[in-house]
Amino acid sequence: MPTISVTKQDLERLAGKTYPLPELEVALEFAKAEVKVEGDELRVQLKDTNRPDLWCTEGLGRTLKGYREGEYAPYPFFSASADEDHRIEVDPELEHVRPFVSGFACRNVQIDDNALKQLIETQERLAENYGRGRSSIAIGIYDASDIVYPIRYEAVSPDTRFTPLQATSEMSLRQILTDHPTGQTYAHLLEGFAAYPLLRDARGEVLSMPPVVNSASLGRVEAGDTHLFVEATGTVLDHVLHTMAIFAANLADRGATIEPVVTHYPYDTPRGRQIQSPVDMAIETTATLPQVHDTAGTALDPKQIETALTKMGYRDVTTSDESVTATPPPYRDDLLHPVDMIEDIIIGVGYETFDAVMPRDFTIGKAAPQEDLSDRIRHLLVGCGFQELFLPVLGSLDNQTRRIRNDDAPAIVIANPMSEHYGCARWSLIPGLLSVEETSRRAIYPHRIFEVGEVARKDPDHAYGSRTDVLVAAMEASEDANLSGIQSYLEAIAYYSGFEYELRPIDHPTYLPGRAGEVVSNGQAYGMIGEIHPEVLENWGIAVPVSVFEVDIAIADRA
Amino acid sequence: MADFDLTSLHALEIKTLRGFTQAPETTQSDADLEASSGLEAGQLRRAVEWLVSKSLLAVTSEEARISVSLSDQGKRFLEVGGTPESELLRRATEGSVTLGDLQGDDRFDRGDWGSAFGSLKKEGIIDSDGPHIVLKDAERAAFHTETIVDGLIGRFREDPEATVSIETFSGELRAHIEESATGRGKGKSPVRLSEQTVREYALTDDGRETLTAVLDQNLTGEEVSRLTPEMIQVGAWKQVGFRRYDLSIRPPRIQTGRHHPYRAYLDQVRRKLLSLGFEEMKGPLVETEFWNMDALFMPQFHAARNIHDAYFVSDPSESQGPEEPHFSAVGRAHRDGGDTGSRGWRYPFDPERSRRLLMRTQGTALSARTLAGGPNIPGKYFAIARCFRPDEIDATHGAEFNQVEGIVLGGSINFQSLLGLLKLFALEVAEAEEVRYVPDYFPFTEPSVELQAKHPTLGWIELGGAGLFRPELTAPLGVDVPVIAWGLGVDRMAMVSLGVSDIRDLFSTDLDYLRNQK
Repeated sequence: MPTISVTKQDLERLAGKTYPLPELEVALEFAKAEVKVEGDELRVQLKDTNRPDLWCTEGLGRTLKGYREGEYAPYPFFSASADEDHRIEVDPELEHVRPFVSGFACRNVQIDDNALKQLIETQERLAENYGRGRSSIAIGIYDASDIVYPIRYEAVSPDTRFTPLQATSEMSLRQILTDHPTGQTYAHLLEGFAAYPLLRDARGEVLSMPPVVNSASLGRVEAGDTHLFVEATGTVLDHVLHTMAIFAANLADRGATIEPVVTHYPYDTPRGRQIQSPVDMAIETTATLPQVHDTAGTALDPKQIETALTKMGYRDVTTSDESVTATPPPYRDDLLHPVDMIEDIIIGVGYETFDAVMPRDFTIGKAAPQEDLSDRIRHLLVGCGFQELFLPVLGSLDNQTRRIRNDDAPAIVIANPMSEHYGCARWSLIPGLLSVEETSRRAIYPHRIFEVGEVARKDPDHAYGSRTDVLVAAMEASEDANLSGIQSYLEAIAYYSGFEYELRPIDHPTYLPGRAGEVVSNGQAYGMIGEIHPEVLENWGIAVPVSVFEVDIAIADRA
Repeated sequence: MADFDLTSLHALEIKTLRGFTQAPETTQSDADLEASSGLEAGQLRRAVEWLVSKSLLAVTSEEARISVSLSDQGKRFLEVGGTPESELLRRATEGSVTLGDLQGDDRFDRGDWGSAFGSLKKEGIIDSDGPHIVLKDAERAAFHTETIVDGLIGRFREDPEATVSIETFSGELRAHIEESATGRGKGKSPVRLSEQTVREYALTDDGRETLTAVLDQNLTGEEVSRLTPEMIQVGAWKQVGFRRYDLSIRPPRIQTGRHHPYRAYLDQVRRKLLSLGFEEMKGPLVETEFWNMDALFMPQFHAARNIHDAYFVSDPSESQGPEEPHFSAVGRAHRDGGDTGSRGWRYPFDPERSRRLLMRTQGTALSARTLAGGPNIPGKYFAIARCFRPDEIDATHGAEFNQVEGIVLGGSINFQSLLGLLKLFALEVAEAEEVRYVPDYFPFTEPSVELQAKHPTLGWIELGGAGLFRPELTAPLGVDVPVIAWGLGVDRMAMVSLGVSDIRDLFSTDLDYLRNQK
């Protein structure tokens, strides 16, 4: 979920109204935004990951105003035609590097500090979240007054040199990726390519090296600039175009005159070889009235539907006896299915106007069989005087293997752990119980503890390479803890659950030799019982004998 | 004072109080009380100490006394009926006797005879004439033969264990006793001196009142503390009274077997959902990206699918499957919507990605499996599922959490029944009175609702969310009726209910904490 910083005054200026904070919080709910105050700024969390047009002050301000007033300002530039010379020419080599580029210019914009801050914030938010760390979208903003058209989007040798932002002299593209701080961050995006993308103007002046860094000459925007060029490059054409549509609408909201630019491709794209930007992303959507009513659960009259859609920014809303047809705003590309428009109708009408109708279908409640088994065993062990535990599934690989002297344990290993404490999923409950002993040396003995819970184990015979089992582990830590003592509780479970078992002696590194057994029932091993090996006790800093059993609860399944 | 709790009186205290029954106003010494209470000195001493500390008994006088008792040597003299000195003098008056003769008399040791001879000679009472002992001073001899034998040793004839006040002896004997008992005299002393504090006691006003109560209730101090199996078997319980307990004394709390408080909370939620007609779902902790995300129509480029938002599994690294026909149908829905009426996400769906394994990030994966497995229609399902996300760990975020979530499906499902379901949860599961519904976003539902409930102190809090599954999700899994997907933030509800402020405490490994948590 993206979170953005918003200056309240700036938002209110764009929204055309001053909002007391509580009123603002409620007003933004329909935009699925949550507001928190942080110093002079508002931190706004946007829940809708498909609405990047809302991830900026301009988008929120525009929506507040439109929802309140029931109408939105039109953006005629989406249908204007571009000047012949306003073009970007694309190098055929880029088709397999970073194939898409799109841009536009704007004039008469007053870039004050707020606007500049917002431009940069929006650039980062869209490139990071929508563009997945600049991989599918990267955005550049330039002072357009020195740019000479046509702009060229080229694939060039890594030895090509220019001076990037935050540098004082020319560097080769190769050097930027290894030595420049921004270059280092995004170097992985160009890994494996023989040529790198470069944007230059007609004179050969470098604008930027997408998706990495702008040049220090053309690629610098300052407060006071009035003439900008904005571009996006990327790997998904519609996302690149969508990004430009959002930026164009945002700058227009701040008073800019938008000048379209046409990209000329030497290869085919899903939208042809010449694509003008900004482009109206929206597509006309139709929902049948039965669809609307069935989804809403109540009949809405066409007038209500029209008003709701208009409040939500839709254009060309028409209703008939059968259906409603409308086009969302030009900067929205998130409607996949009529249900998306139907949700906007319901939000536009207001959630609070709908009745909460209790479900009436008759259904039968039914517990999962393993949960019934778990419950029976849990109640028995509590009756036996054991404290129940509820421990994390994730743990350290060291705890799950070496510290119980079992390096061959079938533990599931996490590829991207936050820390070694969460390096694997538990394959056994015993390390968890030992960690309780480790932290509870001051608690009055005897300790009788247990957990019934899920573990995950590698299993090459399973289609998913692993399986999830429900185990019960019960542990006694006391001066007198021994095998027969803990076995007496297993006896109780076996007796009341109605299963027979026997112990098959086993030498296992976790247990004292000669004092461990496999729990076998109907010829199948379900777990183990034994006295914990003193070296394991040392590993966990436990100073009293510990005995334990751990069995799969399936042993108790009589069905 | 009238409400003094008689159950706090020990049996010995009752007996001591009862020693005053005949004359509650009089004073009694230790010796008097021993007699009147029938207690031994040691028992009495303890009982008196307790009664004094309870202000039921007061010490009225206290004086130190020196008393005389026989030593072992003295008791021997009493048996013999004389001392070596008196016997020596008696034999000497009867006729000629030598020290050798005397030492043949084994009533006393040879040394005793020797030292008696030495001390009498030194006092000038006898002298020696060759081996013969000659009496020189008959008058002073009488002190040894009469005064000591009758006046001192003889005083103990009735009771050899008695203690006698030193005041009762004549001045001459007192000097002798003091000299010999303190070790200044020669030889072994027949007597011992001891200093004792002699107290006298009287009942206080409270004490008299208590005594009256004791007598009224017929407490004797003979009440039995334990009912034994023997008493029951032989019927002896009929003859005895039982000591009344002091119920104000509390024993220590026992370490009981106990359910984990959070697990017990989840049990309660589970029972509630079962009672509302929901069927329980279970599924694997390690999921494929297919069931965890693809099947939920979350595009493979979705932000929640990147490396920072899920724990991916490196060993094992990949699964077989997923199963057809769902695999192809889901892929089509992603690419171009297939025949779901959607334009789809329009990107190259990667089937390899679907096989990657991760730790389940959302319980909704179970709902997807249930839909694909041919659910009941109409049907209501729930799961309490452990889920995993790589959040920064703090008081409100753990590496894992529990999700209570599920689905409700059937022909009558729509936005209004979705609101109704949420209201039902708020009332029945969270026991909240006042709720509101706010637009929300989930990648797999449209429309989506956040459920907020009014908490008496915390204000509006988020309880959970729900939405109608998108057709792009249900159709490829073979379901053609509307489906509500719902989820409740059960960890947070449990924290509020259990009064826990740090989510990590829900999974505590501290046994003391668990034993003490209410």
